[in-house]
Amino acid sequence: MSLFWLVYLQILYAVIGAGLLRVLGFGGGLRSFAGFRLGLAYVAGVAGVGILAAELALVNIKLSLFELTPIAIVLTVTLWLRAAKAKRMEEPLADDGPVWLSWAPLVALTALLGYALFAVGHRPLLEWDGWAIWGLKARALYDLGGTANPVFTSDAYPPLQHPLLYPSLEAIGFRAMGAFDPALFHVQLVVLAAAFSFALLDVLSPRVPLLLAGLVTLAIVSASATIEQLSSALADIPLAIFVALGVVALARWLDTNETPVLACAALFLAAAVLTKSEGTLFALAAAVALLGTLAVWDRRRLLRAGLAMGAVLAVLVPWRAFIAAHHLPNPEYSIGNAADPGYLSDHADRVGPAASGLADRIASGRFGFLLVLILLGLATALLSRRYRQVAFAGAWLALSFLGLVLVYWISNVPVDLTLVWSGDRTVTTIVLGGTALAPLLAAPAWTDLSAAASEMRRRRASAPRST
Amino acid sequence: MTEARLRTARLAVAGLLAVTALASTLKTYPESWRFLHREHAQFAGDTAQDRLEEAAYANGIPIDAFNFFRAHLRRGDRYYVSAPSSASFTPGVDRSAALQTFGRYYLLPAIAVTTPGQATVVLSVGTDPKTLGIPFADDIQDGTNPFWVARVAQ
Repeated sequence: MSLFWLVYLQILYAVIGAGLLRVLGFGGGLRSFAGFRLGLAYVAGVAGVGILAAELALVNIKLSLFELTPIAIVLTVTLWLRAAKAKRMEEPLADDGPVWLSWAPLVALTALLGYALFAVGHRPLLEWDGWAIWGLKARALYDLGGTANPVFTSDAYPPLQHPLLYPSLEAIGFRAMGAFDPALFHVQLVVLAAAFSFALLDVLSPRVPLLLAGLVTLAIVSASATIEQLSSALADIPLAIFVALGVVALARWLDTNETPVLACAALFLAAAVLTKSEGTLFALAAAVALLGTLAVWDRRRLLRAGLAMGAVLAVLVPWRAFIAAHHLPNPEYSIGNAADPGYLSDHADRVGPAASGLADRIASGRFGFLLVLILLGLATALLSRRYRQVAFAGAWLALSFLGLVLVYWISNVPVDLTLVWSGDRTVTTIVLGGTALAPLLAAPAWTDLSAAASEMRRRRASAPRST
Repeated sequence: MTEARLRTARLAVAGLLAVTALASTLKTYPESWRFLHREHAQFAGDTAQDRLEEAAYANGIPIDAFNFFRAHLRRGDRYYVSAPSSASFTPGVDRSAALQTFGRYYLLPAIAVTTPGQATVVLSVGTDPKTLGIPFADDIQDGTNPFWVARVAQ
């Protein structure tokens, strides 16, 4: 019975997400959700419900199926079935290659994630942060109903600086199941990863042929680092998913100027800032990269971009107010030290080990060849003279990496130890986000290549056969 | 670089990108599949209670002690974990901190406190709680195991 309600919850996420996409201006009719758009709707629903649940938890209000069901009904009835006028959106590219070839990566992807769902369905929380941070907070939200208790405010429960989107989502799942079961973390993450795959294909679809998008998505999901983290219950994978979809949507908006896509990017980045503290870093990096790119190439769009990025940071305000009101310390670093030249100078010996340690982890074989994909994406865009895209993607990657180095620089934990604790995980967002951008960077060149290949096939077919 | 050469380079790099994505998948897909297979083989028979306890086994924490504690805690209890500091299985975390951290997770909805003076119950591993010098209403040891639950006299 608990499984039935858990499945029902997943349907609610997709329905609420479809309504949210409609609010953001996505059109296309109900039929459009029969394809990859369903994945985008699901992740949008998880992001929207997660933000709401995390903010409400701060005032001790909990969300459950009881509240989510009417929200889904209201969104469906008033926003979806009403034939509201949708904003201009680009159509998916027509695929002129062999169908079996284009769909082969998706079959492999579905097989892997299907097996993952089966394989991790009984897994406990083994990783330290999995149970000591996320398991604890989710269980406390489920058992105690909100944050008005010492688990979220007392120094008996360190660390207290982690935002609450991820445990709030899991707590909704426990309420749906009627029990706390650690396996839910893994199951929920695998479903989110599956939805992410299809959401990414949907966001890429107007610019990137299905074969290339499918190959890159498969490379991302099948990477050992991705699969291992999916089964670890840590918040780094949901963070990477939200940030990757956010930056890819921003990159598409740079190309296409579709307002709903910008709004969708803001939704995902807003979810990211409430998922982990590093989410703010990655969202700020995206905002600076976007606004900087527009300042150079297209100042008319600065205002819209600024408003969207402002909305992302506004979502963080209640959480920051909660931290300030309860004087919650961050035992690992003080952000003020990042602007203190004396402190930075005194701890400059940490920069080298932090930078090389993080770079080693980005280049690690656990990510397969994803770093090479990022570099090839940037190189293709440069050769295609897509300077705006290169500037945005390059600036986001560089700022994100430098921001992470800064965090390890000002940390008061020995640098070797903090790299062992978290280095493998904190780089995940950079690698997955950068790789997700690669097909968009290479899209025009790939389309040219596909056209050249098609032309070659046509010529060969029409050439007279020698006897 | 001429336009034609630039185009050739562009197409070559785009093609290389697709080949690299395929190569990356060919390298990692079997590894990931095998990893999932191992995960399934290891945990397929676990019950919900096993899944709660596994975190203790993975970190060298005596789960028997925490099951004993849990059986004696009531909703609304504020407890203090008393345990001597020593090396633990987890890098950078001493044994006392590991026990307290696991207690915070496993003993919910009972609430942890940082000093014995704030507690309604003292949970002790390895040391008799009487050494804390606090008056207790009762003091229960788990047989001959070095685990005690001591309810503070109000």
